Amino acid sequence: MVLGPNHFLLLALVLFGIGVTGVLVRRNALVILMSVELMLNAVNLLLVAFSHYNGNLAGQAFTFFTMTVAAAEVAVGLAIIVMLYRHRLDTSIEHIRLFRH
Amino acid sequence: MSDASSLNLLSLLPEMLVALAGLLVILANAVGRDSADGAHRWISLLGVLSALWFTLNPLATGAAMSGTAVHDGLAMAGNTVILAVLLLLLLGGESYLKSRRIPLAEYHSLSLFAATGMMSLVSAGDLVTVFMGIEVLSISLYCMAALLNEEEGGREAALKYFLTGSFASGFLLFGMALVFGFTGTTNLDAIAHSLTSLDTDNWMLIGGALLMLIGFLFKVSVAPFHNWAPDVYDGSPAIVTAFMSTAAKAAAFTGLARVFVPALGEAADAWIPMLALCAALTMILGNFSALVQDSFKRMLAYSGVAHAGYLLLGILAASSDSAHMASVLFYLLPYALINGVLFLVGAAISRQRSGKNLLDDFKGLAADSPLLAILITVCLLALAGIPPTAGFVGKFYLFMGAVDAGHVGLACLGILTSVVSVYFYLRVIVYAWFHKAPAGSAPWTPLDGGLVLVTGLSALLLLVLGVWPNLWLSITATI
Repeated sequence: MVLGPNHFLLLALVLFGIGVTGVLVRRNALVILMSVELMLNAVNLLLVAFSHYNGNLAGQAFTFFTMTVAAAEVAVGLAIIVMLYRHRLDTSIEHIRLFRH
Repeated sequence: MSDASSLNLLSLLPEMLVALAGLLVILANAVGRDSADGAHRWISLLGVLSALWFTLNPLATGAAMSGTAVHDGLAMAGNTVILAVLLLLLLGGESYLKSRRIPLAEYHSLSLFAATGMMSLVSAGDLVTVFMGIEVLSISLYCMAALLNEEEGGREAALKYFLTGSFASGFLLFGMALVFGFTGTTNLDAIAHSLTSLDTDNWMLIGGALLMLIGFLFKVSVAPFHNWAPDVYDGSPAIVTAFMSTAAKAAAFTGLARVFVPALGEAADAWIPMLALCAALTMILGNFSALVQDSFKRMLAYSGVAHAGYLLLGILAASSDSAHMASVLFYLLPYALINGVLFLVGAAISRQRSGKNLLDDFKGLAADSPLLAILITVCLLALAGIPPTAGFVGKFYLFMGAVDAGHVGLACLGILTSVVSVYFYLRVIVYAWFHKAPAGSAPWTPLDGGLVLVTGLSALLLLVLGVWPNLWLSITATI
């Protein structure tokens, strides 16, 4: 079997789906953050794959930007989670009514 | 116009000046410690004013950095709105920053970095620039939302904003990757060009466009992706809310227009139905939710959601005729000024009464400060879209554009929901003029002069633009 762009697309979709499910289902802020990272990394995989099959380096360059942004996002996200943990000794988002009206 | 392959750095001067000012604020803080408190404000003011000058009198225009940024009329109008909001907050926000003990160096540098991101987004010529602009502005705003971290509401707002924002970025990025996979390029012009020869009825392109749209709609708080907005706007410091509900929304709308109207215009059949549905839902949900709020801040937050719906009508109109982009940009300026002023003034008034940003805090305002009551009345009437204010002219152009583009039903819905919105804006005005202050409330102390000044200037500008809309329309219409 020869690997084609569709295989990578399928894998990226599955990874992205796992990430989305994690964000929607899990109640721990740290796990949600990890799930978001999984979503971003699924996209990185897709970008590199498309870059290879399109014969175009733009996608690989894009990946470097995504990784930098993901690192910055983790830094800020962890700081926010630590700030909450200090006051509550808990990283669960149960007490935060995310969808209140 | 300059050659697309050249650097053309001079056209990026406004962005660079704002970023430089942000770095200088950090430097001043490191060198001067506590004695630098006044310097932060002056450095920011200098950076913003010089950036505004070079935005309105550009040394160079056109594509820059090999086409990854484009300084055209759209960028000019968007930058003007963003910088005007920054200026408004710098002049009018000093007393708020002092009274809430917000760390000045952090606030000023973060707001300048967020503005750099917004300005990059507004002048983006490439999907990478769009993504970086959105992320720079979002990450700065996550930090700014957490500036009041001694309060439970502030901490929750920061977490909620961060989680929903980064979730939305994931969708945006996935959509960008699919569009890149289909067209083989990330440059917006090249995408538009390649779509003219490719079959646009492809699931990868449609999926990519819709995922990107979801990401953008999250950022501009359009229903059904708006749930985070009222809580985050309510929990964040008022000055940060004033910033993110105006400048960030203006930047995201301009970015949305840049990506969807020219670049993905060929695939319009894929995303227009979803955009139209979201616009209808947003106008209904935003206005009817605002009706039942007791908190001034939450009422304004839902009114902001509703206004995102009106602005989407402008984007819909622009997708059939790009001349209608001018009406979106026209409305962004009065919208941004009104909300920037109202969040700040509302916080200052509330501090003298209950301190909880309640609508009741406005009772008896006219007896205590007639001038302020008049200015707020003008702002609220403009938000409701009543002539002769710029709010009326702006809404008129948006709804006319929707009719021109064939969305007559949506335009009617917009007008009907605007009528509903008059109720909750008028409620504040009635409280201010016809109700007595609650017994036992503390004697009135005049507000900070800078805040009254920017409120007065904004109200004046609303009236001037309401009578002579061409002053601003001539700038936005050059696109």
